Amino acid sequence: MEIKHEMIDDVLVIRLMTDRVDAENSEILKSQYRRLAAQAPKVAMDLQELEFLDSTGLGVIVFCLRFSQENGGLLKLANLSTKVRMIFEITRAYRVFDIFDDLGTAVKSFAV
Amino acid sequence: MSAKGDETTVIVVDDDRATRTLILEILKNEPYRVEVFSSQEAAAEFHRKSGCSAVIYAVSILDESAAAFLDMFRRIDSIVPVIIPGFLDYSAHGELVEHFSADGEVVLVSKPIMPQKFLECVREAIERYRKSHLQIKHYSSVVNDIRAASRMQALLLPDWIVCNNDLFLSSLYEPMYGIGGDLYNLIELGGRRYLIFIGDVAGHGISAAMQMSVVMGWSKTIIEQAADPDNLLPELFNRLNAYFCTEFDHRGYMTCLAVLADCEKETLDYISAGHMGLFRYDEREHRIDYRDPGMKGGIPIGWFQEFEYTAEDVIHETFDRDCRYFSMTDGVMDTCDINSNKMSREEFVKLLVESNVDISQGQIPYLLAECIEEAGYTETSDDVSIISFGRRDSTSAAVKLSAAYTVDMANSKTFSEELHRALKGAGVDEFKLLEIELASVEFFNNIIMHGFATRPRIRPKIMVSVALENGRVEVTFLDRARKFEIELPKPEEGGGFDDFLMDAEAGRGLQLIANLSDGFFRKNYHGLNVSKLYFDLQKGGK
Repeated sequence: MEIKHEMIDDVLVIRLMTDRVDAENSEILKSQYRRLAAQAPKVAMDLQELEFLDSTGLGVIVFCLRFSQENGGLLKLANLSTKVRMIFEITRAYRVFDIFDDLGTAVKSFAV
Repeated sequence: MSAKGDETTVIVVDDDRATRTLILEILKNEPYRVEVFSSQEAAAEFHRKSGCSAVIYAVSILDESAAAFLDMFRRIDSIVPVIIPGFLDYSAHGELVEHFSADGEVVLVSKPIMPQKFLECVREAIERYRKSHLQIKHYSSVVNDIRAASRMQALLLPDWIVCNNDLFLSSLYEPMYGIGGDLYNLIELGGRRYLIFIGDVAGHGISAAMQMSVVMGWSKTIIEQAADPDNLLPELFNRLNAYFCTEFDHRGYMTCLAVLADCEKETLDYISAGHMGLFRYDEREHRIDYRDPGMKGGIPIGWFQEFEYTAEDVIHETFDRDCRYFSMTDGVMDTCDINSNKMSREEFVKLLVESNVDISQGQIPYLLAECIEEAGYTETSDDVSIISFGRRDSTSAAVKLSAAYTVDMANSKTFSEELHRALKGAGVDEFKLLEIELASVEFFNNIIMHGFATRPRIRPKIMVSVALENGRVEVTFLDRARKFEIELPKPEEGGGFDDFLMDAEAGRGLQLIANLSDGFFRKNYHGLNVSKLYFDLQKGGK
């Protein structure tokens, strides 16, 4: 799984360059997030490439959220595809995440 | 239990100095290490740790303690010879004499001890023990070889399920002694033509397995070299017959049923050499009938070198896309109940039809085996093999997907995409489709992670079929993972599981399956796990 990251303003933007987060590759995201977000209180995750995630994949995104929260930070999600939005709706995961239509809005929301 | 090390050790247990001196004198020129004990327990402990090749129990008075000593030693070593010099009067020591006699490895030597005769006893006892030991070692080695051969033989045979674009073959193989002479295969000939065969090399064990291995290899060579593709079946049998009669020199023979399936012309041609014919299960009518080869072919391969199989022996049929065909080696029909009764062929067919099981793709061999077992036919005296095959392009509009996946988490994606495509093509609403996809992928992953977690992955497969009928989607999983139980949690109200989602360390997958599916079935049929998830399309998305 390729993960790209950059700073936009003071927000760490993490881009998942994969169409799938599941039992096969979720550990990679977990370990990378630990490393990248440890010193970043504001994190926006760009899920534009993502088309599917199973329960393990969802569990890892939840892990990322909790990791940030426990370190006094925040994680917000952006650019969910139609299919991933539906998955979040089916699992009601939309209730626990802040989700934005685009990355710019997600980044700006940290300033509010 | 074995004598450890290269030195021959003799244990002497005595309580009398004179006897000890005599025995040591007798043994002094022998190449033995002699260990002397006055305590029985110490002697036993020594043997447990270091081993010996013989025990001399030279206690002055023989009584019940001698029997107790023997019993104690036998708990450590069942075959080490125990030499007991003594005077035993049957009338006075009847029980003791019988106890020693029943042992089989007790050598009673009359007193007074005659040195030369005593020495001969000791030498004979040690030699006997050495030979027994060699036999045990040899037996263990044979058992290990059979285990290894069994694993290798399993690799020669096809996976329990083989699927290609045209047809599937499922199989069950249970050799009587770990390895055997049953064989079957599916060989692609090109042009949508396939050769399927099942056979039984006479005999059991390693010899039959070796011949089986040769036939599996030969058959491919014969097919590659076949002079006339239109006369393939008789040529295959004639060449195998020649090999059996010349190379095996009439020491082996084989019954065989070979089927040429042409998926382009939709024909089945088959020939039998003394083997059971084909059973045909018609899915539309839920009826099984037996296609008896009659007198055609008839002679097992390897019986008569002069015998020639011809085109006259080949039977021609339509390869019906809504029928499943199966055959088996005679070990199946030779299975008896506890009163040694076998089933007749008619009883066998009746048993299957009345079992009312859902005989769909891939399951037949295992369902058959389960039915036979449940009917009380459990005493096997031969290797058992059952194969089933059929076309993948069933006219049933209900089946939207039928595929076999190698057990690999990477195939979770392939399965997910194929399932999505199949149901999207069938017009299932996108939201509902995603629910089905999520739940099915979770289940698929569970089979891999829990069912195959501790098993070596030598070409295991999961077969999945998806049917849509009467507003219901049924996703069926067939696998030969270990028989693990799945208990779905109760579906959560509202369908979502937000608190659980946040707090759970594990188990989200099963909760997802419980929330999103409308029914679940799982049963093991003779080693095949059959699991079904049901989804009601009439219900709104959750």
